[in-house]
Amino acid sequence: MQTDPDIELMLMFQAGDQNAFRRLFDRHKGRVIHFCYRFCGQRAVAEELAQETFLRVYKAAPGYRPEARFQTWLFKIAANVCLNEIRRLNRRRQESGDESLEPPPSPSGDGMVTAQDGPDELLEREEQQQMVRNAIDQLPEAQRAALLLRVEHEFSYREIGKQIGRSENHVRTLIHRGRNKIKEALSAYFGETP
Amino acid sequence: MSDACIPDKTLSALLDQALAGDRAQQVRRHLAGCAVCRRRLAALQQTDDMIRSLPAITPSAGFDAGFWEKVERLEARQARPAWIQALLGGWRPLLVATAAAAIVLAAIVFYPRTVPGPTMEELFMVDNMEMLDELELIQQLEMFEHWDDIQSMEEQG
Repeated sequence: MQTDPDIELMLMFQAGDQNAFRRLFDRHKGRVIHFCYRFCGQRAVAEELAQETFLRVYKAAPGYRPEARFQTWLFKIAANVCLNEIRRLNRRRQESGDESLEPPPSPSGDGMVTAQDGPDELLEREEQQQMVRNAIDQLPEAQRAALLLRVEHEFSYREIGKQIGRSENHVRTLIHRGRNKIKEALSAYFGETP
Repeated sequence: MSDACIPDKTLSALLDQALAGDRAQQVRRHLAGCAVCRRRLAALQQTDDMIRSLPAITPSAGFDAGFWEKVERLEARQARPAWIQALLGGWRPLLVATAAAAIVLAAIVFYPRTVPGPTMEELFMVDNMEMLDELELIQQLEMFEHWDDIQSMEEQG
């Protein structure tokens, strides 16, 4: 565990080296924002959640003990922050019955235009990406978290179990169900699959 | 798909390299001879590829500055003298206790006033009862006034 350079940085920060924390922040902020964005679908909210994640890391430094890979721990915090936010929004939505609290459709076209794409290809790709986003947004929270942590961040089932507080076997089921739902939602793009 | 075909959950685990060695070998042997399962696995792989192909976002211009501001505020809070922290940390329980005391005090002060007074009907009834008492008293007084007559009547009777 001690060979994880992020853990070394975290221990340096614990010992009072502020620059070590800056390096951790710079190294991981992109992935954390990306995870939060994929999870909640709104850039501004995702950035707030990512900041909250790093703030919790900062506050937790005095009691930090390296029991897992630093990234496993970091994304456990990020997943908790995101899940809490989604549950809070869902509660508010239920209490108020206010449709305006529904997350807006995820923005499209962020960084996907290339010079080689013709208008038809662009349009089709945009439509396809929107469908993928919608399918992810429709997943139950735990399935969404588990699937994103696996597919986009390549954590093992065991690590994801630690991150979202489920058994390894449960994680396997969550990922399988999430993947299947997205596959079904995108079946039009898969040709003749059963 | 034959009976021996691989369940979706197992294909999903294979994709994640989460199958134990023997089981993974067994599944791969099946895949080598089963076009249906190969297509199903390919569809799962394609699903993952589509998720991964979604464009990533980069932090906005103000992201870092916003975060470090929050850190500064946190540091400032932590650097306050202990007595201020205790005071600020303790203001919520203090507020709750004050609110509770105010409610109790208000209940004590206002409760008697809030008990509804007698209605006109009740007042009328009380008046009647008082009048009745007075009438009984008068009747008793009259009885004493004629006490001698009553006594002599009893003696004769």
